[in-house]
Amino acid sequence: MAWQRAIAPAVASGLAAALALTLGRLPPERLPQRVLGEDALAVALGDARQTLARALVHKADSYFHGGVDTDHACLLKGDAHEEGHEHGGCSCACSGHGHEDAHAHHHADAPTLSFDPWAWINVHRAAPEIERHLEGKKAVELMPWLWASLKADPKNADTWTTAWYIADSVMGDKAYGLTILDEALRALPDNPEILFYRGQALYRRGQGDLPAARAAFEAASAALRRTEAQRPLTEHEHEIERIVSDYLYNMPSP
Amino acid sequence: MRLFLRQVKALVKLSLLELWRRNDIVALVVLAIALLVPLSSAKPFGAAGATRYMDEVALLLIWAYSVFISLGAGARLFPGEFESRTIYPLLAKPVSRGALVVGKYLGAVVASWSALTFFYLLYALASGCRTGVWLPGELLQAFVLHAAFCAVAVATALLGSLLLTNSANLTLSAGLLVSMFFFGRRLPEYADGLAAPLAWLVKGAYAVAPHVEFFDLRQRVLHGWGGIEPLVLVAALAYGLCYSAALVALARWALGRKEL
Repeated sequence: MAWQRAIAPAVASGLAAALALTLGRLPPERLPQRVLGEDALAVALGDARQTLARALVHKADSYFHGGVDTDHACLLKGDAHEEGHEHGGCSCACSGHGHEDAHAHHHADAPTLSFDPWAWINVHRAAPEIERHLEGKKAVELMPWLWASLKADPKNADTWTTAWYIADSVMGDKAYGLTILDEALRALPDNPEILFYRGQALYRRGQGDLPAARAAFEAASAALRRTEAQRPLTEHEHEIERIVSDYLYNMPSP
Repeated sequence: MRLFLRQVKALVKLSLLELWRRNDIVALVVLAIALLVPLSSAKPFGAAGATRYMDEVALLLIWAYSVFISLGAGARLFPGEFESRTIYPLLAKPVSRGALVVGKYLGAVVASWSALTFFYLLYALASGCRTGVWLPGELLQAFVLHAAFCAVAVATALLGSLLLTNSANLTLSAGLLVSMFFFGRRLPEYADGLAAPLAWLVKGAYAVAPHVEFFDLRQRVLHGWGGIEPLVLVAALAYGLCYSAALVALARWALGRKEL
């Protein structure tokens, strides 16, 4: 009979649905996989998101160096915007402080290996003679990789500030930089570093929106105080605190 | 010799027709469009103007498709003939086993090259429309070296098809080529950090494994580094030719040992 043949699949489906409903009501810590965040990438990748995000920043770094994978990887280490970009700019070994824009990237720099019969072809195939930085508007090519990295790991403050540094200082587009920082604050609303950079971006060496800059610095200072109430500040956070205090001390009161 | 060439020509024509009849390429192009169109409309943080990432994804897709097509073309050459027993009338024609292996191999290579040419033309068209630069030197070099890769990939799958089952052949060949493509260059560095017996094993594998990474010029095309020196290009092509010839000779030997 047809209805008898339908019983087994119907019972199995009913049991599966009941189990799914029951499992769905369990607290997260009792589930087999605990996913932080609810977007599709979080569910698909879990903690591997951070590794993927790091690889994507590495890709952006490679683009920054004209396609060369460098050891110093300044975007990955956050060196590009360290200490506040108003004071220095990209501090990676190969670019900043007014050195030449392009420099020889010698094949001899590669480590000498004891056995590599194919080195001759590989070295001449892969290594460029010149390492060039993407400068000006061309640096927009980095943005898709940084954007993808932040989609994978939106809580990474370093990547947000790197994206802002590229927009603000390398591309010279202050408004675009502020758009990135506003987006960053939606992902990390109480992050002192992002609030500090927002203050800097608005301050523009004393020529920008000073009341808004002051509000951002005060928010950064308050966020640092809240952080300090929970745990000791890191060296980097102390540095930010010092610079924020300098700004607030030197800025005219409202 | 003329008979041999005529037989090879007929086998090449058959392989070419088979590839284009299977509609694999149409499916791959549709897949590429489905991936690239949404990607092209992405505006990271609201800014437009970035295009290099699209080129990178497109070139990576071309590489992935070429692996798929070349391995498929190489792996299909003989198992079907054995299963349907059409190998007997084919060898009774008379076609020698050597002519059969060479003819079928060249047919699969030409079929893979035709698909590769189609993909590169699409890429060059899209890139040329955007930048106004049509067929830069490094893109031509990249195409030529990629064609050499296809020849090696087809030969690898052909040899595997005579020694292994179809699924094992495809899995092992794809694993070998993809591993060498991404990590081949790092093997000596890895071997230097190992203890003596294992280090020599890795070094031995590095010496004989197919160095398909030689044929990858994507970074040069993407970042405008310019082409490689002609001598290096010739050396890489000669490597591909010798490696493919060695694999085809081994395949001929394997077919000769097979009891039919």
